[in-house]
Amino acid sequence: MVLNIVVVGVGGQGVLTLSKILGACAVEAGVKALVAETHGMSQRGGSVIVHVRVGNGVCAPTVPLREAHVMIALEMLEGARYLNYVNPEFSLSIVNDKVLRPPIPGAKVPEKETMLKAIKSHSALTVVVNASEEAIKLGNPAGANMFMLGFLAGLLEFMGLSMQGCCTNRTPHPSADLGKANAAIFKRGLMEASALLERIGEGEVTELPWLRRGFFKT
Amino acid sequence: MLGNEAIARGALEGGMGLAAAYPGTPSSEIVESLLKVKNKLGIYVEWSVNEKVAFEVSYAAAISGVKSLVAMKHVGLNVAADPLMSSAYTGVRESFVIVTADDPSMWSSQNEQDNRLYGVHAYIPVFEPSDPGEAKELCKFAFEFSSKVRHPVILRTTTRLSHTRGPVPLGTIPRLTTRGEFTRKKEYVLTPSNARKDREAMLTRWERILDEVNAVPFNRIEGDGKNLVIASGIAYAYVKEIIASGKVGDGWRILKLSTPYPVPRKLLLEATEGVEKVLIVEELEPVVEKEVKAILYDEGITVELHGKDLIGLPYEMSHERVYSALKSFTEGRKPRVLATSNAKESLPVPPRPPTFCPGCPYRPLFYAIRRYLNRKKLSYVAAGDIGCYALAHNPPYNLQDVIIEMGGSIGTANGFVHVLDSVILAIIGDSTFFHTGIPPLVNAVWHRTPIVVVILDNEITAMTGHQPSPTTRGASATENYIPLESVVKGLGVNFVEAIDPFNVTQVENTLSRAIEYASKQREPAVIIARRKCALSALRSLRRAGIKLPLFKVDLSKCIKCGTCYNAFACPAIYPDKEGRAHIDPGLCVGCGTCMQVCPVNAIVPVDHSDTYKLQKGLIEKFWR
Repeated sequence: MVLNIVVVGVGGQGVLTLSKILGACAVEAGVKALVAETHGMSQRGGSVIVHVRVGNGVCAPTVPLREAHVMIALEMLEGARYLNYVNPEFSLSIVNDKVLRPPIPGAKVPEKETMLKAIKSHSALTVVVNASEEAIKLGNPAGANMFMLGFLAGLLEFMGLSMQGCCTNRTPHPSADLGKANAAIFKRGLMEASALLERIGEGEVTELPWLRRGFFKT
Repeated sequence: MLGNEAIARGALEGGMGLAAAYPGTPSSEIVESLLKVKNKLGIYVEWSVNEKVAFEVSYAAAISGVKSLVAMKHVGLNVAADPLMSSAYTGVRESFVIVTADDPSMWSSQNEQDNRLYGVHAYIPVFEPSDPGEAKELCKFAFEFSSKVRHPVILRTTTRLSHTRGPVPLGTIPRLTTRGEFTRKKEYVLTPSNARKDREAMLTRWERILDEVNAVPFNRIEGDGKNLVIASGIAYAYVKEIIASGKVGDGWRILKLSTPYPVPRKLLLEATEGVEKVLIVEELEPVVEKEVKAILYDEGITVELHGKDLIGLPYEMSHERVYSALKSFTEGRKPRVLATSNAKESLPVPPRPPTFCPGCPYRPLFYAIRRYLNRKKLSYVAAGDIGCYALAHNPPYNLQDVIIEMGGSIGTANGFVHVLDSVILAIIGDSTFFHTGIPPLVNAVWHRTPIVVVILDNEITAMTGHQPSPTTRGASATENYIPLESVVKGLGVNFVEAIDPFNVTQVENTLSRAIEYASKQREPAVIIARRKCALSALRSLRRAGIKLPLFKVDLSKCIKCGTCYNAFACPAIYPDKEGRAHIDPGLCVGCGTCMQVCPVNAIVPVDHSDTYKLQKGLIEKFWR
C-alpha cells in the first residue's frame, strides 16, 4: 500500500524541512518513500507543494490528482489552492488556522469560512489546527511545521510505521533553545493526532478506510 | 538522498577527481554536495564563472586523464555548446560526464528544451535515470562507459528527478586522484586538417558506442504481452506504477530505456518481437520515438506505433497523462489528457508568485526606480535578466520588460537603443554580469551606446541557493574578491557609481544623474547597487545571536494609503479590513526600509530606546 501525502504552504514556512524529515523517518523505519520537492520558490514567499509518497510499491514521485490520503496545509489559502489533489471519498485535510496574504497589489483573499467550506467539501475529513499559535506559545514562531510533523508522526505510528526519533534527532537546531521548543511543538502535534484518532467514528469525524493499524504491512 | 546528491555520490563511486559547474536550478545540488566533501576526499571542485568555463575546466581534466564531471542546467549547455561539439571530436583520455539537468514544465527556467537532442547533435551518448537510486548507479556506470569508449557521456536528469528524495543504497568510493598527464596529440588541435581526421575517428568511436549501448544493464525488457511500452527515464516510473496497479489490464511488455540516445538496436528488435502495437512514453521531444521509427523502418518492420500523439509534447510526465495514453492505446481512441501544466484550481484563489524576501535589497531598489520613472513620466524599456530580480517583472514593480537569457539585459539594451527613442535600462545581477554580462558591456563602451546599466550586487548567486560569486567577500582563502567597480572602470565606463539600495532617495538621485549622463555624453552609465542578500545577512545575524529590531505601524497615524503593502509590497506588511497597515512580527526581519516609504511616518520601531539605535548600528555591518 502507498500512502499519498501532499504538504502545501508558503515558501519559508518549513514545508521542505517537514517533508524531508518525514521521508527520512519512513525510510529508516524500513518503508520506501519518495519526496518530490519544489525548489527555487521556497523561501521566496511562493506557493509550495511537496509530494510525499510512503510505501514499498511507490515508483513515481508525484501524487496523482485526487489521490492524496492526507493534505497538510501550513497555510489556508494554499490548502484551498491544491484541492485538486484531495478526494471527498477518503482524504484527510489538516489545515493550519493561518492565512498569509500574497503581497500583490490589491490581492483579495477569500474569507476564512469560504476557504474552509471549500476544503471541507473536497475532503472526507477536515481538521483545523492552531499550529502557528501553538508554535508561538511554545517558543518557535516559525515552528508550525514541527506541529504538523508531530501530527503526521502520530498518524503513521498508529498505522504501523515506527516514527521514533522523528523530531528529536533531525530538527535543524537540535542543541539550542529552538531544539527544545521544536520538541515541545512536535509533541503537541502528536497529542492532537492521538486526540483525533480517539474521536474517529464519532459524529462528524468519519472513518477513513486507510486510517487503520497495519496499513504498511499490506 | 536527493536525486542530485545521488548523482554526486555516483560520480565519487565512479572515481571522479574533478568537478566544475555554474549553479542553476535544478542542477545546483550536485556540485554543492561535492564541495562539502572535496577537502576530505582531496578532489578539486569549483563553481566556475559560467557553464562554458566549467565545461572547459572539466574537459581539460578528462583529456589529461583525470575522471571529471561538469554539471549545469539545461540552458547552461547552450552556453557550453561550443566546447561540447568539439569534445566529441577529440574524445577524452579518461571519463568525462556532462550532467544536464532539464526542466520539463519550466519550474525554474525560460524554456523546457530537451537536451537529449544535444546528444543527437554532437554524437554523444545520453544516459537518463528513472529514480534517485538509479541516478547514483547510472552516474557511476556513465564514468565506466566514458572511460571504456574514450568519449564524453551526457547524463540527463530532470527537475522531478533531481529534486526527489528517495532511498539510495551506497557503494564504496575508490581512491580518487586529481593528478593527470597531458600527452601532446594532433587530435586536440582542431585546425581544419586535424578536425577532418577527428571527425572520422569520432564516427568510428560512434559505431562502437552503438554496439555498447546494447549491453548497458539499465536497459531491459520487463513482462510479456502483445503491447509494448518503451519508456525512457522518469517516464518508466509512471508507466511501471500504472501497469502494476492493474488499471489498464495486463498483457504489457515494457522496454525500459536508460540510454534514450542512441537507442539500443538489438535490444529494441528483441523487445518488438511478436508485439502487435508499440507505445513510446517519454518526456518532451520525441527523441526515442524518432530513433525507434528509423530503426524499425531500416529493419523492414511495420507495426502500429504511437508516442507523442497519445502522450503529448510539453510539460513533465504525470500519472494522468500516462494513464490516459495507455487507455487510449488499448482502446484505440483519442486521449483525454495530453499534457497538463498545472491542474485547475477548485476555488478561485489569488496567485502567490514567489516574491522578494522581507529585507531583500531589491525591493527598495525597484520601488525607487518605479517611483522615479512614474514621476518623470519617462518612456523607457527595462531589459531584465536571470536571477531573483526577475521577480520585479511582477506587479507592483513591473520592471523587467524582457527576460531572454543570461546576460541578455545588456545585450538587448545594445540593440533597443538604436531603434527606440526611450531611456534604455539594463538590469543585471552580479553573478549574471560575470557570467555573460561583460562582453555586451564592452560592446556598449566600444560603440558609445547610451544605456543605463544597473548591476545588482548582493555579493552572491542568490536565486540558486547562495553559491559564491566573484563578488563574494571572504568566501575562502582560495577565492579572490573582484569588486565590480574595477571591472567596469577597466572596460572604459566613465560613469560608475556604487549606491545603497536601502537608501531610496540615493537610488532616485543617482538614477536621474545616470540617465542624464548617458543621454548627454552618448555612452553607457553603470550603477552598482550593493547590499548583501537578506538571507545571507539574516543567517549571519542569527549565527551571531543578535536579536532583530521589530517595527510596527502607529495606527493613529496610518492614512490607509497602501504604499507599504501595495507599492512597496513587503510580505511582512498586510492590510486589515479598513485598509490600515499591520506588520507581522513573524515575518518582519527589521530591515527598516519601510520607514522611508511611509508618507506620514507611521512606521516606527517597536523599541524606541537607544538600544534600538545601538542595535541598528551593530546590525548594519552584517548587511554590508
